[in-house]
Amino acid sequence: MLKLLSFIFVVGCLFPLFANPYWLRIASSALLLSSLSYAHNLLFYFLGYPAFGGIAFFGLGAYTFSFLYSKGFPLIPSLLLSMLIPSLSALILLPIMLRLKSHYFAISTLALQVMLMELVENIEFFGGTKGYALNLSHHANIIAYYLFLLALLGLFLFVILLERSVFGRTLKAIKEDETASLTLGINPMPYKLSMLLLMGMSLGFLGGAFSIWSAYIDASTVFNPTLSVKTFFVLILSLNSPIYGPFLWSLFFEMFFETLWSNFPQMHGILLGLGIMLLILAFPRGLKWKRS
Amino acid sequence: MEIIFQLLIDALLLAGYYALLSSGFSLMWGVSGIINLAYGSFVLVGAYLVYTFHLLEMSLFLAFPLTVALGLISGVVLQHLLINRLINYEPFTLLVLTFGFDMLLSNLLNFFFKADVRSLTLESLSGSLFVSHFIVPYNKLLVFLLSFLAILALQLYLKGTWTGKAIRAVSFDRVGAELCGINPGKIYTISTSLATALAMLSGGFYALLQGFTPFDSGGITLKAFFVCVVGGLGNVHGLLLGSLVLALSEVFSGFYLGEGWKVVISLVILVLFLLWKPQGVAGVKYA
Amino acid sequence: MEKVIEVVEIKKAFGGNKVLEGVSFSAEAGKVLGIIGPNGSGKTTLINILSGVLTQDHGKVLFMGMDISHEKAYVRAKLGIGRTFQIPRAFPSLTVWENLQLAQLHSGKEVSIESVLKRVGLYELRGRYSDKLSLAQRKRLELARALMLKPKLLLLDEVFAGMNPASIWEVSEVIKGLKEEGLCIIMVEHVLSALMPLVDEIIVLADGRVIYWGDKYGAFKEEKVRRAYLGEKYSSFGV
Repeated sequence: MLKLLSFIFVVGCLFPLFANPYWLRIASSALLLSSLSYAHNLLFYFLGYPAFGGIAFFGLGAYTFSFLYSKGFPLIPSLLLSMLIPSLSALILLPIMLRLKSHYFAISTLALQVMLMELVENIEFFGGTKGYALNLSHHANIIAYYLFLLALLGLFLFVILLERSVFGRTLKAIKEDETASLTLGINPMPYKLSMLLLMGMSLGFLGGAFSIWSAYIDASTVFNPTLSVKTFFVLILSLNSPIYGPFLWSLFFEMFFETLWSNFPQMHGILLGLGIMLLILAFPRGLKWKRS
Repeated sequence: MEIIFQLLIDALLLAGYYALLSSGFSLMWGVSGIINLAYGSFVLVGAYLVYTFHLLEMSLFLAFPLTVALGLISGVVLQHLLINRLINYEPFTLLVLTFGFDMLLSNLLNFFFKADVRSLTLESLSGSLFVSHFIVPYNKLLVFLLSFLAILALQLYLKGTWTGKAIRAVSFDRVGAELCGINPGKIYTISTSLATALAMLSGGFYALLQGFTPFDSGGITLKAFFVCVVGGLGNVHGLLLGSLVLALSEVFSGFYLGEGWKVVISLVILVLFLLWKPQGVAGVKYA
Repeated sequence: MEKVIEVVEIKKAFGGNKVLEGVSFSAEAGKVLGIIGPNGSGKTTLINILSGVLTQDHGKVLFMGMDISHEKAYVRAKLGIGRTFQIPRAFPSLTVWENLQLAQLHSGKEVSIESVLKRVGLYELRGRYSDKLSLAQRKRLELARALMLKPKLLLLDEVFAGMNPASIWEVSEVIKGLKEEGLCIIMVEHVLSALMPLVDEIIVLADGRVIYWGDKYGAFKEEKVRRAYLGEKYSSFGV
């Protein structure tokens, strides 16, 4: 297992040296999507809360980074703040999480995301509809790639550790039966809080990295619900394989839809919609995380 | 001061329409517990159908009932072909299904009709009624009156007929209703087809009120969702109240802050309610 | 004898439905208190209030003399209130052993998983996933899990329902042993044949009120109790 990981790590690090820009772009997209998936899974797989609107934090991270960087802040502090601000903002979800019903949480977070999208677009201080165009070096693409790789490896390792730890098992107990957990002396608050902060932090980081990659951001790009759709598409496919699933499915997804989109641009939306429907009809079972 | 009255009139007319628009969504959510994310697309299908029928020189007196009939049928198909497959799983799965369906429908509409803005403007409805200083556009007035009638009819149906009462019984207590001999599966189908019929009917009105494109569906579903969350599920008071709040917020924020802020303000209100009062102002059921 | 649990004028309503209308009683260490009553009398709601899963609208809950009326469920668990559920709620993704291990880690108490499993007779099944157990086995698992908290008060909600006589006998022996160790045990039960040999006192709950609290032998001699169970028409028969 460790050997496999090290192998992937080495390949990942060396990849940009051989790859042409086209493949680098696809690889970066795949790394981004996997990281987004693992980040969302922190709340979804471990605690059972599907944050449909998790991309809100991605967008907040992107805007935080872009705002700071364009005002002259150096790269790393900007990136760190793009982790901190969304993480703290994630606290707003805590009261909703304490209400238990998961599909309800899903919708509320999505509403929040769309709200932020519309809000930011209307406020001139944050660039309005123009967004931010960043002045980045020639190597921005490569830097972004390594940031995505870093995020993926970090999240991947974290998920593996969590899966085996007592903390992880407690999380899943809370997910499976919160009431029963309560009667065993488990206080769910710190668990929910920590996963929420971690998700906010990782998504914020990815938003910052995305800004570097794209060099231009605006509300409709970084708060785009399509990103949420893609992420949950991957997560549904990965329900029975939370460790390797998100990575493999993201890779497949990016390559598959890249080819599809370039060949059938009009059909993109139709196929995605159809794909989602067929997927959920075929794998609803996977969503019953109670194993009985 | 006069402006405020004009705005209030606009809001009232809009509220009536929003009540009809949201009634189907509320019905599905309140009775079957399904949040239908494809609702907006059904509304648009209704809009495009009426538009197409009109283009084909069909009388609107025929086009509307035909659209409603198609709405009823599509609801049955939706329930039996798709929803019933996932009814025993987590509610989350239905959210995903309807979301995918919304994407599919919007893009299919786009494929056939392209993204040009279309609308149904009738000479007979152009112009406005002038009540002292205030302007009441004929199309908005007609839609308001027809929406009012439609909601009245719906209420009579739910309170007066046996099926209507069965629907209300199931929404309150499924098991209890079942024990009285009511078949919940049948009721779900009826309420879904009513919901889609109402959606398509409001779609027809939508076409009369404004321009539309295939990608308006999200915004429409959002409006219906707003009305249900803020107003509350389970009774007509909630429906009317939620519609009024939405209409007031849109009309006033649109006028005083600008078009772009309309959506933002309603979203802010929605999120606040979701965070603090999810059952809405007059909700009888848990939202 | 010290009162482990005392309940004062507990009222609870769900919307317009008044489930508990002023319930008061107490129980002591080393004693078993049975709560019986017709369906819908509020027994499970009472257990939920005692364990902290629900909050009462009115009234007080005192544990070892402390007012715990507004303490959260997990705090009560840590204080030493253990419970089982009417329909067992073991964690399906964990094995029998892991279920207990989780309880041990969060209870902060030094209790040997092995000894508890052997006591309830699940030691051989320790590696099995809890969703692969039979109903009776899951009930034992819940009991074992509650024991990991080293509870002073044990709330058992219909623990004998659906068990065969052999299991009933085995679990009864466990309960007897716990009673001897000084635990205070409250049991909601319908299986009277299993309950009666174990209890010291009985409470009869009907329509959200305590209509009888006392000696177990006296319970069915009371007119009120017979009426509650058998209805107006038949209450004068028998006993």
